[in-house]
Amino acid sequence: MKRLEIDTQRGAGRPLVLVAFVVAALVLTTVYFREGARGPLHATRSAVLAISSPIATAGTVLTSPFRIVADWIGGRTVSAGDYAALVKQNTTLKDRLAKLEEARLENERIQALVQFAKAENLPSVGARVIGRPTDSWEGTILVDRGTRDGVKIGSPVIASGGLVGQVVDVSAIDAKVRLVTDAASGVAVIVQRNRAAGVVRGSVSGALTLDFVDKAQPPVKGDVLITSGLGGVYPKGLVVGDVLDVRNAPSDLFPHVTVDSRVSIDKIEEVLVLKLQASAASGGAGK
Amino acid sequence: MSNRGLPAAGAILVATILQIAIAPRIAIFGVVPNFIFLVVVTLALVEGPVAGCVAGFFGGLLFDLLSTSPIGPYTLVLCMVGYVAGMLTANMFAEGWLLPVTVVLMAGLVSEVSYGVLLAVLDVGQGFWTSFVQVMLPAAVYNTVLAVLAYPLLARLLRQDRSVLSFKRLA
Repeated sequence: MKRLEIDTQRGAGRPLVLVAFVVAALVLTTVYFREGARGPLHATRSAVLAISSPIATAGTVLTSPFRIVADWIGGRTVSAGDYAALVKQNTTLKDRLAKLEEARLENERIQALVQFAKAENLPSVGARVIGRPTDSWEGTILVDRGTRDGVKIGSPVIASGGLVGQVVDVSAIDAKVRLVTDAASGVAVIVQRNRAAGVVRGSVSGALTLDFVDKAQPPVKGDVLITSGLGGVYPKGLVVGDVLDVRNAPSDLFPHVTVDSRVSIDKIEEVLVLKLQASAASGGAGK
Repeated sequence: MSNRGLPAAGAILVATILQIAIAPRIAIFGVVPNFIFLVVVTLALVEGPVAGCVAGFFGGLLFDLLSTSPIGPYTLVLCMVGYVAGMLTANMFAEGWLLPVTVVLMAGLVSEVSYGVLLAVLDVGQGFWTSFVQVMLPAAVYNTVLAVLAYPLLARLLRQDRSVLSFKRLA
């Protein structure tokens, strides 16, 4: 009976405490939106980012043996669905191998991307991915380069497959990169074949879509999307992805276009951070 | 800080470290477990609404600081969820296995839905049903599965002054 009384007292609510903390949380939210990028909350977040860097690195090292085992086990078996997909992919690959000209063009694109920084005379720095998204709502990665390496908020980030995203937060030793697949990300692009403009947007599931493309110039499956350079956020000519599917119903205002990134976002380990001028990189993740 | 305050603060700190170091590595189809949420709800269940509210506020604040989303929304959600979960301690028997797991599932759903709605209000979210199917529901289920494993240990750690029978009641 005594314990029950104690528990009942402990369970009794104190609405004033709740009200005080709710008000404090609302104040925090308001301050976050009203303060500038150099405000105390943004500064605190940058400090937390700097502290989290070695922890994320330690996590990567500690979990690597388990991931190797998991990958090995995962690679030992294949489901019927995966088998069918692999057979289909094999057919596609054989077809592609036969088309030498297409392969040459593809090779040229990859070479162009690798040489992009040099060709465009853009200063860049290589970085390792040391952290993955810490919650289900966002698509961000942590890289081991920060302000002391010349990385700034707004710096575009690329990999061998194309555009990866943009730096949205940075400390002295690391930076947080918002991926193009993030729900808050938007990249101005053009279709390489017909120069039709649009915006590639991410989603909570990580799928990419091409929005606002001219209905009279719909892309077709396999079209390559590159950054348009509009807005000064990303330099022109970075490969964003390939058109995977197009639905252009007469009643739709814009075609529904699904895009496949060439970058394996979940497995990416190294990236290239372009050290662009702050004025060219403003805009907050292309939003 | 009281004698029980230190383990509580330590548990939130450890949960934050695990959230950075381990949680991203055990994500399933992009769904990342939320260790901070688990600690807050466990604290609320064993200590009551005030402790749940305080833990929720600071845990939520740390979670907000770790993300790139606005700072404040998850702080608000988690301090309210912690308070309400703590209220259940007084009204229902909190030492079995079924109630905590049910509370974690319900609290997980409520917190994810509330957070999604707040993000939508602040114009940084996605469509509700898309988020519900792809993030909210899977995250709540994933956290509940982890709660089955973690609740008995956490509850014993946080309330060493009384016995937590946990899974013995299953028999």
